Amino acid sequence: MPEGIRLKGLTQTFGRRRILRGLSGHFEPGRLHLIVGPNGCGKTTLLRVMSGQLSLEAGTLQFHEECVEAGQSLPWSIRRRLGVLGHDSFLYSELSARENLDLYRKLYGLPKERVGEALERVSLGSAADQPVGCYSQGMEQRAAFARVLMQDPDYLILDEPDAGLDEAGRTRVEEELSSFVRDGKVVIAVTHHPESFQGLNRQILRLEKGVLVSVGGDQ
Amino acid sequence: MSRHLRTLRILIAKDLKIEMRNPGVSYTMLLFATLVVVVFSYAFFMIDDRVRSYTPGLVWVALLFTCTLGTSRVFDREQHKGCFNGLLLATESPRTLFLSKAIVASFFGLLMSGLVVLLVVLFFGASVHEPLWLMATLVLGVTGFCFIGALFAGLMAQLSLREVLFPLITFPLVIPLVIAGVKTTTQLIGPGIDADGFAWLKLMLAFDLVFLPGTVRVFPYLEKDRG
Repeated sequence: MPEGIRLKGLTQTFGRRRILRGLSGHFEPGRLHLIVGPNGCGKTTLLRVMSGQLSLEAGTLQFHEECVEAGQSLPWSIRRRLGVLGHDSFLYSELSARENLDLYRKLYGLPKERVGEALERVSLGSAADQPVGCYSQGMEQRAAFARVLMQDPDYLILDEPDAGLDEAGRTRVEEELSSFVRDGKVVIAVTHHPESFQGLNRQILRLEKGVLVSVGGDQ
Repeated sequence: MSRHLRTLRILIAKDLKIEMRNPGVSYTMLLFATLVVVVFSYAFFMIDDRVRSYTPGLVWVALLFTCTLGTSRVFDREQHKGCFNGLLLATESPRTLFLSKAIVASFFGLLMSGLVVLLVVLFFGASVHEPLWLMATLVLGVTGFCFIGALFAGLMAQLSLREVLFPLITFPLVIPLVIAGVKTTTQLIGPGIDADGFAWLKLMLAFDLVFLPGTVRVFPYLEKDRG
């Protein structure tokens, strides 16, 4: 079971605008951490920093015993245990969902059967061989979620995982996240609908003026 | 096979598969290389020995422009839907990702160099005396250019003015390679290679031995703050 993620003094600026101001926090395993806040408050920036897509300006990120400091990249030992679902799907339009997942499967060195299983779990089995370029937004989001499921990561970092999904898709995402939480994984999601994830041992955090403030949750 | 080599093979296979599905880069290079040689053949519409002496320069001008077109777009597909970030997260080292791009760019560059030489032979009546040495010259020149080009293509992938900036930054760096390439090719499409030609060839080899590993080494530092 993974340990949590600890953030200490995270600071991030874009030009002259300071987005994160010495942000600290602890994300425990076996809990769904929902980050809320108005548009432009830095939620996506925080997730991009935590997932290594933006290099850290100041502060430290600690995954279990591995500490990442300003200017360092996330080591492979962490990246391979990290499932990231952002606004971008990370999928090639020219390839089908199955081919895209197979590409990532090979890169992560995962067994072959994971691809089919992940596609079935998001109910994309029948459209799995069409090019992603032909998908609707919801189908692409499902395929991107399947990519994360296939990895079976210890740390999940999700930016609006239910964006563009229909009711069935949202329910599916909630069920899968519930399973990750039950398995003791670290799950962090940005959302505008925290009420959607009822009964998942939630902690709701609001990003205000560049710092995280706990504003409620379950327990 | 080590994990890095396995990853490299997977990434190269992915790029070639996507290019086969949607051959934007290779078709553009093919068309452009053909056009450059055909336009030059009209511009110098007189087949005599004087024109043949221009052909080494023509080969390298055509290659420089064609490879610029292909190499500057080598990271384009990774810009859509954040695939570049997805690959960076999924590969152990960004150097492997860069190496795959540089190898794919060099592969298409070398295909085009074969085409350019063929067209120059057809349109200008040039004769190649030592094809193996010519091949070695083209491999050294094109590979050197494509590795340097891929480095800056990665760095500039998100810039709107990259079509202008790319040649402005890349061309001055590859001047020694182009001069040595023209000098060697002059002998290879002429009297045959002598000691002077081998000296230029050695210069190209030395250039590649410095710049090929150098570009692979510096790529992670340059891509880090692309944002």
